[in-house]
Parts: sequence; C-alpha cells; structure tokens
Amino acid sequence: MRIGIRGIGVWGPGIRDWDGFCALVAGKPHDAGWQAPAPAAIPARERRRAPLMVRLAVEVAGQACTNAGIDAHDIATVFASSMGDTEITDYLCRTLAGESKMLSPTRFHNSVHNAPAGYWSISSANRAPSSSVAASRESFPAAMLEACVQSTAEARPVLLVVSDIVVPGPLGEVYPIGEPFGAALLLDADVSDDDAWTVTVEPQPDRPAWPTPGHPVLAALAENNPAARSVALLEAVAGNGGGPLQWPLNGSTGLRMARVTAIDGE
Amino acid sequence: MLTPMRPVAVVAATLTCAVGRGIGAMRDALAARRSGLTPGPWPGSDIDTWLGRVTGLESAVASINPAFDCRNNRLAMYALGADDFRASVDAAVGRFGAARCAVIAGTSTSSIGRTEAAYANLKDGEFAPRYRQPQVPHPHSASAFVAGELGITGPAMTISTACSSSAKVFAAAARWLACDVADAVVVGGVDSLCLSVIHGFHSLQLVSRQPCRPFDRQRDGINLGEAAGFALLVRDPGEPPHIGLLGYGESCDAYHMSSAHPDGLGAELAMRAALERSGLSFADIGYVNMHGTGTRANDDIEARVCARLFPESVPVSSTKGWTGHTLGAAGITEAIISMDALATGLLPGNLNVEAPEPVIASRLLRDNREARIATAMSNSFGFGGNNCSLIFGIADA
Repeated sequence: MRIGIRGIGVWGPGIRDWDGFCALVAGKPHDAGWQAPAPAAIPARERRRAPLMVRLAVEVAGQACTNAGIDAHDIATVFASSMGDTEITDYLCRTLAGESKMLSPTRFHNSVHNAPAGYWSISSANRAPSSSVAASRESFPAAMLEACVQSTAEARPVLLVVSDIVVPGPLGEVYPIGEPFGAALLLDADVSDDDAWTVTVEPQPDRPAWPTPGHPVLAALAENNPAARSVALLEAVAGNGGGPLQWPLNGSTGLRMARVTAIDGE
Repeated sequence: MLTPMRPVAVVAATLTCAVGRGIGAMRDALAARRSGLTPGPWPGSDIDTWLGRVTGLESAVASINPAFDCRNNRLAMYALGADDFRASVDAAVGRFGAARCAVIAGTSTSSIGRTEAAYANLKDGEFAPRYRQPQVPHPHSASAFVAGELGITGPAMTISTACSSSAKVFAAAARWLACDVADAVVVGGVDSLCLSVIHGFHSLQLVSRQPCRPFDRQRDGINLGEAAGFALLVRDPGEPPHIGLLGYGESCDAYHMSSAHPDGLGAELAMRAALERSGLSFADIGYVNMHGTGTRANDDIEARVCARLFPESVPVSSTKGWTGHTLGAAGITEAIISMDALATGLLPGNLNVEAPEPVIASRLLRDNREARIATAMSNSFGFGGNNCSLIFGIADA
C-alpha cells in the first residue's frame, strides 16, 4: 500500500502541537511540563466534564484536520489506544470492590473504548465510519495498518488517532504507561510519488525490534507509552527522513513504512 | 454510491453462548424456542435481573495458559474447541502459512471482570500475585490469546466499538483480504459477564428484572449475556463457497454517547451502505436479525427505521431473548445466527412477545418460520452511536 500524510496533530508532555514537535526535533530545549488539552471542538460545558482520554484524542484529531486544511465532517476515523480510559477503569473497579457498587451513568457510558470516537463524531457532526481498535503495546502499528487499509480499500482519507494515558492505581503496577501522549495523522491513499510512503506487512524470522527515535526525550516517551510508538514516524516526517521504519505487529510479523522517494534513492 | 464488493467466503464458524456450546446447540435451542436466559443475580451483585450466562467454563478449560487465565479468555478457548473450528483454522494455516493468517476480534468488556476481582482482593493496596497478569487487563487480551492458541503470527487487532464491535470485524477482514494483508482472517468476538456491565447498565436504568422482551409493548430493558464466536474468512476458498459476506456498512450517529439518533439516521446509513456494497435492495433481503435489545427507546427507534425502509414482506426478529445482550459479542453471535438461517432455512421468531409494537407487528416474526432465503441482514448498534450492518448470502461466484 502507498499512503500520504496530509496533516499531523500531537500532544504530550511539553508538546502541544506539530510545530512544537518539529521545533523539539530541530533542537529546541524541551519544556517537560504536562498540561491537559482543552480542545475547542468540544463545547465548553461538555469540555469540563469530558475525561482526559477524550480531550487528548479530540485535541490531536482536531489539530490534524486543521493542519491538513480539511473539513473533518466526512472523514472516516480509526481511534486506537492500548488501554483506553484507565482513569475510568480504575474508578469502575474501585467502586465495584466497595459496598454500594453504585456507578455514575455518565462515567459508565464514557468507559467504552470508543468514547473518544463518539465525542469526536458528535462534535464534528461526522457520520462517517469509525473504528476504535486496540492491540496492547502494538496498538500504534496495528491501527496504522488498519487506517492505511481503510484508506486504500475505501478510496477515502482516514484520520488515525492514537492516545494513551497514565494507568493509575494498582492496575498501573501490572500494566504501566508513562506520561499521556496523543497523536493524529490524516492519511490518504490518493497520493503522488513525491509524498508517498509505502506500507507493508512483512513476515520476519523473529519479532522485529521497536524503532527508536533519535531524540532522547522522544525515545523515552516512545518506550513508556504505546501511543508514542508513533513518535518514530513523526520524527522522520519532521526531519524529512524517509525511513525505513519497522514496528512489531504480532508474533513474527512487522509493519514497515518507507518514503517512496527514499527507496528510489537507495 | 459505493462500488459493489466481491463476496468474502465464510468457510467455518463456531458459537458458544447461553443456549450452549457449538452451533448445533444453538440450532436446537432456536428450533425448540428454548431460551438460554436464567435468573440472576451475578455473584457479588445484588441486582435482580436475568442473565445469559455460559455454564461449564470453570472445569472445561482448566488447562488454559495461566498468563492469560480469566473468564473472557476461558470463554474464548471453550468456543474455539467446538464445531471443529480449530481443524479448519489449522488447514488454513497449513495452506497459507501462519504469517499470512490474521486475527480480528471484537470485545467491549474484554477481561475487566478479572480486574474487578483483582481490586476486590488487593493485598496492601496492590494486586495479589495471582492477578499480576500483564497479558490480561487490556482490551486486546482475547485477540492475542486466540492468535496464540491458533498458531497465527500475522497481524492481530481488536475492535472495541461497544455493541457493534464484533460486527465490524467482518468489514475490517473484508478490507484486509482485499488489500492482501492476509490470505485468511479469523474474525470473532468475546464478551463475558462482569459487575461493570451489570451495574453500569443498571445505573442507566436499562436492566430488566424479567426475561427481556424485544419489541414487546411492555418491554422494560435488557438482560446481559456472554458469548464467544469465531468465523474463518478467506479470499479464495478453493471450491464454490456456501455462505459469503456480501456487504457491510458502517456509520456513526453523531448524536449522543448513550442514546441512539431519534430517527435512526446512523442505522439507516449503515444499512444503505451494506446494500450498496452487495448490489441488493431492501426488498431483496430474506430476513433481518435486528439489534433489538429490549430497551424502550432503542427498540422503538429500530422498529420505526425498519418499518420505514423495508417492504412489509421482509421478516425481522431479535434473538436476544435466547442469548441476552452479549455486547461486544453480539455482532458475531447474530452474524452466525443469520448465516445459519441461510443454511437451515429456519428463521427464528422473536421470543417473549405478547403484544408487539404496532409499527413493526406485521413483519415481526413471533413464531419460527421455515423458509429458504438467499440473503440475511444482521444489524448491530452501539454506544457512541457506532453502527454496523452486515449482509450474508449464498455466494456462488
């Protein structure tokens, strides 16, 4: 498959948009502070009540569409998260371990893995197909594959959104995730050679190693947050690199991405 | 207008739900109109309701890999062992190679029941040793477990869009096959009963204290259920296929997190997309397996949408009176029931209907019907306004 990257949104510790990410890659000092996003796409009253997971995903989704200069409302979406809304999982399990077991109906309906997709479709009046996916630590490469397949098979642009937040409480000891990180890529299989990346599923003799970002801050992010496994690709785009990059998908299969022009130059 | 798709062959399937293990058990229960629902409450819960639970799990799969041991994965393993499904997958792995086979499974609850138990048994604020299983408490656990059990090393992915999860796996698999990501895809869904969903739906006042009565005027909510089902999809079956996926349609309501669009706009979009891909019209559908959960609002909306779109001659029913609402496994459960209606010619009549909603009364099957049909549609609608419609048929191409 061949895919073009039309727009990028990103949010993480000290990273508030694509320009900031590019500046970091170019050598600007990193401001390590985490600040929760307040996406303009969600109406102010809803925004205050929206969970962090939703705000993070919707923020980067909106950024990617703005960055691409595209109207979001008919764009198909693939949302991915390794663990989903772990703050709500912790709340549900704590409450159910107690005496009353009375759950908040709002927090319950926000507990679904597709809650960010639901908020996004409502706030962008978007009735296009939407999938919410997971593949544990391999959630980014699996979702990238799914988004590229959708764009290719359905001949339409697809917005890919990956996000993971800290796992609180005792669950975090068993399945730890570092600081929150979200990224969105507007992908389009309708692309010229100059802008295209090839995307292939490649059987390997052994499980492929993770790609390591060159920037030490980004390498640490990628190591500790499954959604930030996308950073190796973002860093390549920011630095005008062409890969090839490879991520493990499952067992002994990898997802490989390389810029078409870079392949020609090899 | 969407381009018609090439049918995808469904060469094997298996289903385990409240009515029993294997497709044969399901067939018998449908024919005998024997519901799998039993009175609750669920252990540890005080909520008065009926449940669609799978029995025999604890002893049947004692040999499960401890790293993955939890009710949801036990249910998956139990289901994989029925209907000679493993033999069919083994043949596909042998024919195409393990890396050319893929897994896409849907779930909503995943293994949260295990995490609930871990929180209820904390030791000094931490998970007790037996609950420290990093491969369990995440949404992809069942898909990873199933890929490992079946010896599949190609891509594995979980779709979790609430109650449409394991319907959308068919759409995703059709695309993976079309794009040559794999030669065979095991699709499926697994959802298991746990406190989160029983108490969660109770908090929304959607849980019935009686056996659920989809499309009855006196219906008052859902019964939660659990199920695991799988199907093997291939691009080139090698011989004329019997049953195929003819079309799929996906949409969002863009309306509300837990209420369906009042006019069923998203549901209609999904059904129209499935029809366009299959090259069929509403009148060509031989039977519709509805989402029909038994809630006041959603059944009302779905009944009106069906009455608006389908000619009166198309029979419709919900089978949740047998299985309960199996959430993330509802899509695969009802896809398999719909495919089996094509194979057997038995159209299941909706259980527990005394006085049907007037708008749908003339087309709602209340008794089983024997009819050879060429196509069946299965509809699944979930929280977040996520919709999926599937069309199965006899594919002779």
